[in-house]
Amino acid sequence: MKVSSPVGDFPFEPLRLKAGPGHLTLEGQVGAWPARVEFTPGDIVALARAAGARAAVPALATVVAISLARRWMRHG
Amino acid sequence: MSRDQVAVVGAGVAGLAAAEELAPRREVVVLDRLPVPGGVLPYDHPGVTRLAARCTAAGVRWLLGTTAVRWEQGRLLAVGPQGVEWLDASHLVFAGGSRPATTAELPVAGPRLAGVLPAPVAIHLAEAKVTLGRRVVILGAGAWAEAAREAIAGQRSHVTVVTRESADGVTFGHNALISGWTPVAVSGRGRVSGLTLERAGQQLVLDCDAVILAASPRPLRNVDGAIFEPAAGVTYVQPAADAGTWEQAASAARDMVSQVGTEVSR
Repeated sequence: MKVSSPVGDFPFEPLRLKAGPGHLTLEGQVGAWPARVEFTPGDIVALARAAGARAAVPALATVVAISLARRWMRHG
Repeated sequence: MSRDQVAVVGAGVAGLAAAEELAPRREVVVLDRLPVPGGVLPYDHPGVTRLAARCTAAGVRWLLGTTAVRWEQGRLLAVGPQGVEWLDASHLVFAGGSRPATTAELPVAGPRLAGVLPAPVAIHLAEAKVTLGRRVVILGAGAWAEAAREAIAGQRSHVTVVTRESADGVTFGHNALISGWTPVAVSGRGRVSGLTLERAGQQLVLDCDAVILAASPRPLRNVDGAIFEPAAGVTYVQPAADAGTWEQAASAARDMVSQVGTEVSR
């Protein structure tokens, strides 16, 4: 993955995906720097909207997965 | 860590080529404030990836995303993801690249105004899709000017190039070209709206809403203790003139460090 910024383009190498309460965290590296991206259900819906209707199904599935993960983390 | 280590500050083409040249005879660590090699070139530029791979193969150690702060003979203060540390280094090779002259250095008088931008900042903003202005003046005709022109090519701005010297060096596209005039002042309220030029006692005011400073490049120096030449134990790998292709820049850098490290046997 490539991330653009006002100081140039950098590679983003995803390393692991973690589920937290109410969000997913994608951990990785931007070159030598550790980096992470947090997704909330709202972000997933916004991404789906930006990508168009075809992305709605996987986005919905992700929202459901986050909700299930939250429930699982609350109740064990 | 060995006292025979050479620290190379700057992981652009010049720093990478210098590190590769030094690696067979000294331990080498390369530092750069950015988290990837490349400097002004993209990290995935073929020349950068090739040089970086050769450095890694030669045993060069990387401290990327790390800012070199201060040089004292024999050690370098570095701040990065690993924390703050003094690196032992018997020599510093400084390959910090170049920057265009500031308004104070040119000198161009006037208040600090929005829209007056050093070329590197202008280029980054343009690449991030920020429109710099509708009537843009580029000061200078060298590599920084050309890169700035290229970066704003899609913005449909009216571009005027101003150069003190002859127009021969202007090989890139423009809407207007003014050569032989010296920029002396910027004016405006909050944002730049005019640039005053002077020649033989005559003055000319250009209407503009952006001025890109791309003239009179000079070495970028930002490590305390290694800013002014000569500094003990420091070799500067910063060619004054435009280096040309990346291969030429690499070749020049190798030449500039060819004597570094030959005085101490390992």
